[in-house]
Amino acid sequence: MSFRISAALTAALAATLLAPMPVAGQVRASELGTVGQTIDGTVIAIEYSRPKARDRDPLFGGVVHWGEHWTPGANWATTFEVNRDIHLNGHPVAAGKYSVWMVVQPDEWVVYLDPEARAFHTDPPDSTDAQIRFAVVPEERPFLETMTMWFPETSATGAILATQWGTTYVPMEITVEPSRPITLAAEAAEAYMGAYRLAWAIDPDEGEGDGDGPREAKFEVYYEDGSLMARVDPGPPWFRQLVLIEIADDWFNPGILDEDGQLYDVMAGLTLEFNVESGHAKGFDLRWITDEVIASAEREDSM
Amino acid sequence: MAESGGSEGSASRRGFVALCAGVALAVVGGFRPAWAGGRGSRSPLPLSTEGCHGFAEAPRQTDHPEPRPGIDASGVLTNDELADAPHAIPVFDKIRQIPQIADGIFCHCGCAALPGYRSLLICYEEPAMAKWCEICQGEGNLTYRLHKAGKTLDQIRAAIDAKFG
Repeated sequence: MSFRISAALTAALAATLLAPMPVAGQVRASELGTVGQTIDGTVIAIEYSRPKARDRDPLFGGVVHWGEHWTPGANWATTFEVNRDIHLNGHPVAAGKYSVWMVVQPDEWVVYLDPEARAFHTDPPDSTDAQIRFAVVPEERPFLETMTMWFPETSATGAILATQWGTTYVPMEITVEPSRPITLAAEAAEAYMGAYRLAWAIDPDEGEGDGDGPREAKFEVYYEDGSLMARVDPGPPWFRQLVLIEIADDWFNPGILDEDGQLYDVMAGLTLEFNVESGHAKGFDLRWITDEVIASAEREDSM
Repeated sequence: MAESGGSEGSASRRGFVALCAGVALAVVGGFRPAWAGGRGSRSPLPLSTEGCHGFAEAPRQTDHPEPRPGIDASGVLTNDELADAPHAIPVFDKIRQIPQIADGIFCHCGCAALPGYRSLLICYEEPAMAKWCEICQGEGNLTYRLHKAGKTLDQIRAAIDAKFG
């Protein structure tokens, strides 16, 4: 009996000692980092461990040998995930999750994405046709101690993904598929082109002016560079020059172009609903996201 | 390669499973004219918003439910229950007239990710997100307008997706 008790106590003690302890924080030489960016509904997510230079020099051609297949990071391979198809430096990349590798050379590097996202940094994948490969030319930038990936530039159609460690900077250009084209066939545009008289049902300057701003404006719809455009005079600063983006038959969201003519915002909460009869628009309602009509327009010209 | 990238070379460390931290996808800001916010009790949604929850990845799929046979508006808040949101009374009045249509519409505001969600009709039942959510209100008003104009449920769904999807 005493043996049984002793055995039970021993087993209990062993179980206590061997039981896994609760996971505690753990310092890593290369802590895990994430960075993400959304562009027009395309979500880009990167996960990577971030090595530090720690006075090691040179980093490339030293810590990372020339010719080495290096994952930009440490530990488990850096992953690159997108929810929609994109182009990376002009090369098509299907939606999915990839491990990222770079063949490091003194001048031109080769970047490749492998569809096997889970890989350890010491085990780069063999070359396969499923990989996306392209060359990049590193640049030199002011020193950065911790390897960093980020998006220094974004636009309505893409972003620059930058990777830097030490003074070595590698930019890659991401281009996304637009959720809606801003172009419209010339024949389709004809129905809407012309001059309209716009009457606001609200004060378009509310919150900025005294509420006594003009409640009527000239709204001119024209065609330029393949897009249906509109000019509003007078109009609040955010509503003077617009690109009309078709979302359904005779329905458009106004978009705003920057000085270079690039789309930088779509006012998805506003919809122009044209009233088209016999192939020509007679006018339109401008509706707020709640479907409330905040302005109406009637055609002024003789079309 | 042991030093490459500051690798952590022990077997136990190699076996570690990286925690998926996830990427914070909330997108805020964006262009918003002055009048878009601060109008009565409206929520100050940016014009480029993807949904009431502000998630960039709010549900965008065209996943319209089939209306439940015999569904009625008994769960839709009454005007007495809208004392804290009188601005929403008109759209609640409309939904009470078309429960069988509203029950066949997907709500794109992001509430579809919440437990208990079924259709746009749910947005008008307790706790009634449509009291404050301009997307719920917009879908409700547009659904009513198109239904009164003689559009079919499929045509209404297509319009909803075009405007809110």
